[in-house]
Amino acid sequence: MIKLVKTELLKLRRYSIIWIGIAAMLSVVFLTRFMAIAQDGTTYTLENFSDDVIWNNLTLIYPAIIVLIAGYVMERERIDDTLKNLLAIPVSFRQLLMGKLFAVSIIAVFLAVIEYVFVLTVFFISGFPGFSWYTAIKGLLQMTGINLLEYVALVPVIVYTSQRAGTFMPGVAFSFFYGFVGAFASGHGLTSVYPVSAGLALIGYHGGGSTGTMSKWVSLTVLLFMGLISGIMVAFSCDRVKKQRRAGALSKIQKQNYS
Amino acid sequence: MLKLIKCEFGKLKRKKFVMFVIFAALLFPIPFTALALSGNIGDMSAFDGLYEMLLCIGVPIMLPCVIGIIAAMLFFMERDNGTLKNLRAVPIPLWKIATAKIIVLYIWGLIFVIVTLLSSMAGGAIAGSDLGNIVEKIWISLMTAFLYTTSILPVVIAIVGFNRSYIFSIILTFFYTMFGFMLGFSGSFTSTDPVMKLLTNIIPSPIIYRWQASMMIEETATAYAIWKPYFLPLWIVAITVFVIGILSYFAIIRIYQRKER
Repeated sequence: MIKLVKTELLKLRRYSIIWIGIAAMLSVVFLTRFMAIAQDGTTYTLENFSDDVIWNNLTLIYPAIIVLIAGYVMERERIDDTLKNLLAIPVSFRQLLMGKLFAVSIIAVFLAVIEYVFVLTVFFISGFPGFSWYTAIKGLLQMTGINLLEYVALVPVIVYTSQRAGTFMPGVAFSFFYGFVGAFASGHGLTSVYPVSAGLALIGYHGGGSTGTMSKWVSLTVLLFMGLISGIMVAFSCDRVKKQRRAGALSKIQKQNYS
Repeated sequence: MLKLIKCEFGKLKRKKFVMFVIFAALLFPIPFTALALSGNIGDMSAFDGLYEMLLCIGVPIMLPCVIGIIAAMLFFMERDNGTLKNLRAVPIPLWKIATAKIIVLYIWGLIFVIVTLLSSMAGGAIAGSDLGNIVEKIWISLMTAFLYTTSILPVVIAIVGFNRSYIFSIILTFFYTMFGFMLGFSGSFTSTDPVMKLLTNIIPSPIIYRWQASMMIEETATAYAIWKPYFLPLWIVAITVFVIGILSYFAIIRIYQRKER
């Protein structure tokens, strides 16, 4: 498995998709900074700026981006026609999928770190007050934690779309919706129950948005349940592409569309 | 032109896009109906509450995304299949092809909003409320479809202009949609900051949102007095969006003709 994860990380160096992830993290920080302009009279500190970035990332950008990256790395095996070679080694589809899921979880951590670097950069450039090492480390841990916990809530979508060629784009659209509804679930006291926002209770989030009452135990149960569903889905996963579609080679221009 | 529009629809049929649009249009009604059924919509009737949530939150989020994806599919189709040279040999002018594609976007926008309206009616019926002033709601829905579809045309310029991958187009559409939605939904147009004031007066989403708010907030509601100074009448919104739309249309035609030469 370690070899598979390492291979996936090596493949990622070839893909430009990772830059879309980095651009997305930059855009969410800029969006938050931009929205701060509209908050007349509010004094931003590192803590509440970081909280707002976590909230915007959780509900607006991250779900679609991480599903896009995961879907893309799986789709590339089909576009480059390398899936059949891997299956012949033999690396089972299940093993390959697990390798990719672990690799994407590492990307989730990487994106959290990148996001936090952008937060600190914008924070210092904007001249906001309230920097302390404790707040800085807490913010970094919260961002890493929420990225990983939200990823757990999104794994079933990734596993479902990975098994079917060309479905990762609808999966991205669904994840966008799935994440966005988190804002409404939180507004109606369902923060801990809704999988996307459940991680907020576990990272000790208290600012931004309207999270209402949260329960760590409920959140933990919900996320464990999502993990269980993911495990079952992975256990029964296989390449569900029709044979004739798999046999048809993609044209050069079609490959460019995904590169 | 009608034949061209029919052809564009025929091309999309191959991509099984009808189901995707209906699926996208039905995504928001499901959780919102659940909210309406649980009584989380204040003192409004279930249908009114559901309709307002869908038109002010669901449509501004999903419609531009769906239209952006369809636009990428339509404008990249000839490039992907190498069929543009055949169309030009018929001969069909490039501006007619691009115009037909833009008209198809509007028709899909209309279909999306109609499905949304029907779903809100179904949700209202499930919750047992009457349909209220349905004619006015249909009118607002149609205008919303027209305005939000026009609002995405500046992104179509970038899609056609950069002529890059689907992923690039979709990401661009997502960011544009989120940015516009945040400006409107978070009430950024109430800010006194000059940059924010300028942006919320030239970006279509917050402008449309201010018209929608004027149609949806009842005069008896406490929010009415707070929001009234920021309401915009339809004619101002329509003119602003129309100017953005017409400029975008000519830019799309010009770029499409230049790109394919």
